[in-house]
Amino acid sequence: MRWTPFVLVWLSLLPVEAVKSFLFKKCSESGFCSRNRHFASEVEKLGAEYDSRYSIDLESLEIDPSAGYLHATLLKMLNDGSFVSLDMNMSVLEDDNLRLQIDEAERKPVVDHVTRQRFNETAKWALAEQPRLQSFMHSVDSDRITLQFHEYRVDIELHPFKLTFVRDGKAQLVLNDRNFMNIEHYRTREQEDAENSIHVAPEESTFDAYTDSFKDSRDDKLPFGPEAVAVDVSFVGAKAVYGIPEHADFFALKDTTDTEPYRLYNVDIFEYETQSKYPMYGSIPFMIGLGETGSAGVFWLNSADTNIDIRKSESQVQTHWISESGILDIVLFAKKTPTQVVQSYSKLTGHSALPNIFSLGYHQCRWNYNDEEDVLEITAKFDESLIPFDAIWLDIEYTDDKKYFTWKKELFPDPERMMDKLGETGRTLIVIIDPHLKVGYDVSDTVAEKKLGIRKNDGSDLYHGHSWPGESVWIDGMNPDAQPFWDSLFANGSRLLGSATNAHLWNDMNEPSIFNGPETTAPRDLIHYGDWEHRSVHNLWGLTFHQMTYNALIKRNPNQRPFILTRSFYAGSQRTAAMWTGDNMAKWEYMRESIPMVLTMNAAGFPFAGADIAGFFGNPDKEMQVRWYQTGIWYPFFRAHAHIDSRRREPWVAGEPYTGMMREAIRLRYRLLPLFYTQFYKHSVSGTPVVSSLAFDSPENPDVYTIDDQFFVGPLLVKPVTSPNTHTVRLYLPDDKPYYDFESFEKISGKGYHEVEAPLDKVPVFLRGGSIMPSKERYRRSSRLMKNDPYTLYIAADEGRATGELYIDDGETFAYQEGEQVFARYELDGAKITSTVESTYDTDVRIERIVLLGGSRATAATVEQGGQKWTAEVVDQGTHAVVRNPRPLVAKNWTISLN
Amino acid sequence: MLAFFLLCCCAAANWIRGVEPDRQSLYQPDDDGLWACLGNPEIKISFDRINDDYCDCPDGSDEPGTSACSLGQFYCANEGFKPNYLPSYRVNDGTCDYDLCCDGSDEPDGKCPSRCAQMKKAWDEETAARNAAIAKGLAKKAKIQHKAHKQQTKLRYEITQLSSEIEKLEQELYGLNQLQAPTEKESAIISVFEQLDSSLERLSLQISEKLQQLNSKRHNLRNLEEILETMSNEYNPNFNDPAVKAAAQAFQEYSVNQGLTKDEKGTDQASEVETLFANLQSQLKDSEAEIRKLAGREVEDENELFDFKSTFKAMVNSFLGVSKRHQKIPSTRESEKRKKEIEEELKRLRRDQQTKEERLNKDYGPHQILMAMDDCIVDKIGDYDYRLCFVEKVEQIDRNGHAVRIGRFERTEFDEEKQQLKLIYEHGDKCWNGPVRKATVLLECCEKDTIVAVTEPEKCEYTLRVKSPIGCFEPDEV
Repeated sequence: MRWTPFVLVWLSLLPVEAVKSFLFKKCSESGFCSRNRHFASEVEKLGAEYDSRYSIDLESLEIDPSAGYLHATLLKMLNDGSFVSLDMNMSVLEDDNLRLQIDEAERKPVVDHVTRQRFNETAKWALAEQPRLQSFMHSVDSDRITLQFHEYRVDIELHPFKLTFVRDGKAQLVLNDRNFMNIEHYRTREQEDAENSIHVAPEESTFDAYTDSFKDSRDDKLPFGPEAVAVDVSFVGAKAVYGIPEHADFFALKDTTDTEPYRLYNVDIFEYETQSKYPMYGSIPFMIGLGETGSAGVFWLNSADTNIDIRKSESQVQTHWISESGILDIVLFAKKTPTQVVQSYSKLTGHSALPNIFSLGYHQCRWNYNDEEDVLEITAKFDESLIPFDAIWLDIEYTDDKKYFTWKKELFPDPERMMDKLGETGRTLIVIIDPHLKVGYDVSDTVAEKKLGIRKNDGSDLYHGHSWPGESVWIDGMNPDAQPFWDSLFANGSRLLGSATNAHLWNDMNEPSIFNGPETTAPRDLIHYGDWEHRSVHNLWGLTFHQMTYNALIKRNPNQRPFILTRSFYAGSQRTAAMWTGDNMAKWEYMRESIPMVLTMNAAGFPFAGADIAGFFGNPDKEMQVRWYQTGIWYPFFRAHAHIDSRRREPWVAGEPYTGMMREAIRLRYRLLPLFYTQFYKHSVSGTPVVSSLAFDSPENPDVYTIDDQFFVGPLLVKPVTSPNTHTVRLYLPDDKPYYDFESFEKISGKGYHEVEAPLDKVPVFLRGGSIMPSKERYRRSSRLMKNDPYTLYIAADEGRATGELYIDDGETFAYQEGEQVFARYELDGAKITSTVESTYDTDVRIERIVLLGGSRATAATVEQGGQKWTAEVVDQGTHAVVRNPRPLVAKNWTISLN
Repeated sequence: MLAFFLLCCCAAANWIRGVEPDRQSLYQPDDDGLWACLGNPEIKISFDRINDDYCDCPDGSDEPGTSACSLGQFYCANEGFKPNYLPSYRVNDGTCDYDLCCDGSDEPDGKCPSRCAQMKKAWDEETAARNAAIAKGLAKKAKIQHKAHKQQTKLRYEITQLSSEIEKLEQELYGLNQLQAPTEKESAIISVFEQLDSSLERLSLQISEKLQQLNSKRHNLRNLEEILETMSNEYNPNFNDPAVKAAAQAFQEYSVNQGLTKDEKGTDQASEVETLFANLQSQLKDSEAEIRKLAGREVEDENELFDFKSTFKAMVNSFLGVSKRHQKIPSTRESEKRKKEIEEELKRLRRDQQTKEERLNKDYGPHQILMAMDDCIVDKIGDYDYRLCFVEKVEQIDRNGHAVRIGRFERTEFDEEKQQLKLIYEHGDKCWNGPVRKATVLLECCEKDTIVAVTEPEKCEYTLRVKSPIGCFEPDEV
């Protein structure tokens, strides 16, 4: 124990208690949340008697239907009958979505060093590009405006302001349905405190409007006083709502009437609890509602501290969105299916870039692999154990005294040599770089000198706080001048990565995590580039950091797809990073929770997600470890990680039979890499989830809405075992198609529950009838070394028909963007299998085997490709038949006829 | 020669890729053009399915030259160096596995040019260098071995000497016991004193134990307070935990309200000792009474009793370490005194003998060589100095000179395969948040003793790579 963590000692002595709840604000301790919940409850008490204070001033209306937008003044009535004017912009976005933006027309400057406007740049960071608008038809009369486009209609009631989004004649979303709209307009403390103040309505509370009474944030200056934005949205006809990660909760969100709201505030939540609405490391303010007749979405483009209340009833799900500051910016979606909703959301915020294929392999991480020798020994041990892996990770201890961009030379005398050695077997090194920069060395000195960091609340000097290295400054990803400096730190030949081509990055602690800050993060009145207060940018700040790293890596090597893992994220983070669910524990409930968390990320357009296997804190027993690998191979991001105090637990440590079971699980993931890669490709072009919940797969079936312990990866239905001493699982089949056990090839069928065997050496996974799935069956040491291996196709016919896809490219460069790719569509029709290929990528790879599930009476197959014809044997294996070595080139069209 | 070989193998029409020359003959079709899997002769396949990149034989024998079978083996001729087998999964994977196939034959032609010549050269040089180092190391080791041997001989001799001394004393004791027993009254008085003696001895032991415990607790407390003081003074919230904050605050309060141990005079032990003395006093009174009773009137001289008292006093003093432990038990006869002396001496000699025998029989590695390694070495690795006393302990010493014991020498292990000697150290200081520290020293051959690397693969379980002549072995030694 070279490192002397006093702290950890104390931790271990204290009774094990999960999250330190006193560290985080409850709604009742949070000014804006408490005020808005109070407001909502007062409005609700008044019921029909209540007159909303918000109305549209018809005279101000400007409509440009062909350009797709309208502008109007939204009036907020004060106690004396006077009005505050708010700017309202409404636009119809391409893809039939509706966007509403409300900003305060005028805010007087209060302090010089803070921008006087409400923060209006959330969209700039979150959206992939400026959204295109589409035209609409409209009509205006004295009490309403109506917009129409395609099968949609928008009814805007002028007084009180209320908006109904209608698809096919049915209301899907109603905004300000319950009159919870509340935009806390600017007023001075004197104005607010004055007797009979016109600014504070009777239904409003003034709790913590100008000061913060929460014990860790009393210093908050709150220069603008109360500035919250809030509105309610009803999902009409919805039976369930999903999304708004990140929470350690069910997939289907719960009613919050008698609990805390779901909170979105990026925090380093130490030892988080499961089944909780506490905020976590990242935020995506996007929610999907689902009912039998349709699906709707709400995207709340606000990066301040946000709370969401949910109330469920028979006929609808009502939501209440509350943010501390910023403008009101909301996008509404209404589609037939939840997949279409997330696809449309993904188009707006960007798809996950097609990953470098190595990053879909197995990642071996630990805090910490101690030195070069340790790294290379672990690598050798994997090969000895015949277990593939792709990336080995270095946590913070590799640095010299936690100074990022340095190496501890005694431990890593020659990092490039080490990376070269890893590269020989196609392996990658992933190193951690965090945004806190220890004071007093060249990197932080430059940040200070060029003022590239987050500034103190008076806007003067850089803010100093504490994190792993002790006193630190934080480089500000919002500052455009930070990018070139960051680029230089990663440039080829630089101190950190030298000229290695197999190095990628891990960005942690970017909430930001500040150990001496309120709620373990930055004080809200710190100042960012653009003179914006931290409170308004908080949730997107982590994105600015990992995006800056992405840009730097692209500059380092323009023709290599960078891999970056981030802990903090916001809507849009998926474009440049993968995420993991942070510091979980080696306990069964965390394994269970990882599935709904990953499903939620997929539902929120960020599929490249995973959880630490087999629990970051603590020591998993061997059974738990095996089960966690069997679960983890299905995470799109597949990484094992362990805390420095936990015992070594690489797969060979447990010994047989456990090591063998983990080996089989990891190898299954590698066999299925073609499937995962194809899933990611499809996401990258159309926004479909990589891992799909049953609710997304079968949205017309309400029985599946709350199922979150099984899921689909393409055509594979998976139900991991996440409890001890379990030998069978109850598997739900969402339809009447045949399903084939992927190990025994036995068939089960019939919509509803089935009890299936699940001994410790088995992952319950089933191939759905009607599908064709690619795999690569040969063990190699890493995914790169599989590149030239032949494919196997599994065909599970449903009434003699099946379809499937396979995507191939070089796996690591951007040549695919120039069209160097293969997309093959497979179709089985009776006895004929057809491959239709769009391809400009040249590869000699062939298909070595076709496995026909359910068997075949054929004895031979005729292969036709490129005008040539040859035969292949068909071998009957009882439960299935195998077309032996048909060998068509995968990148060209072919047909195979079964005789 | 190489060219000829290639020509030759290309010329042979059914030369099978990946099969060594001696086994080529196993790859012959039968009359029907079929061939039986080598390990599964019941499976017959068409001969043209050998090396067709599809696995037909469970033992992998049909695909020696491709990667199709997971259990297959690929033969690399490695002309100019040593031939080798490579597992099939490393064939045609796009990487040159020079470690086993220096000729690069595991990948398609042209991908991996042969490195056999340079690898052979490097290997030869390495081997020569290693052999030279081993030779030097072995020479040094022979000296150490000689020293160990001498020590062993000396020990054996000393043990024999001790045995004969013990025997002599035992004889004398036997003789003394044959002498006439003391009178009844004398025996009674003696036994009273003996009882007193033993109970005082117990008492003395208890006292010193208690004092020791107390002192060590005080010491621990002081250490703990120092740790906490350091934490609360130097605490920068570098670790992400509110528990530390709370602990630091609680400690500050504690130090203000309770006062720290270092300022305190140790009154508690004193009062405990007082109690012990009160007990002693009352026992003394009882004994007095008994002596009076036994002696009856015969004890006329008050002075005699006074002598007893002073004897007690002397005993007490000796227990408390006031004077050297040396009781003056009144003995009516010289022989009793001599018997006591002999018994004491025997105890000492037997203990000495036992220690020497334990040392002689302890696991000091092959040929007890470690017996001669009675020195310590210190090397700085990372932030710490590591001190290795071969047959005693391993310590980690921080910048402030504070030493933590990683382990005490327990035993050795020898890895036959690697020809490597390992020294095992256990029962080190307990880790704060983990197990008791322990270490394994992996010895490597060198003329000089040096600690080259220290790793901590598991928390508080260390591995030290140490160079030393005792790590040198002839390939066939042991």
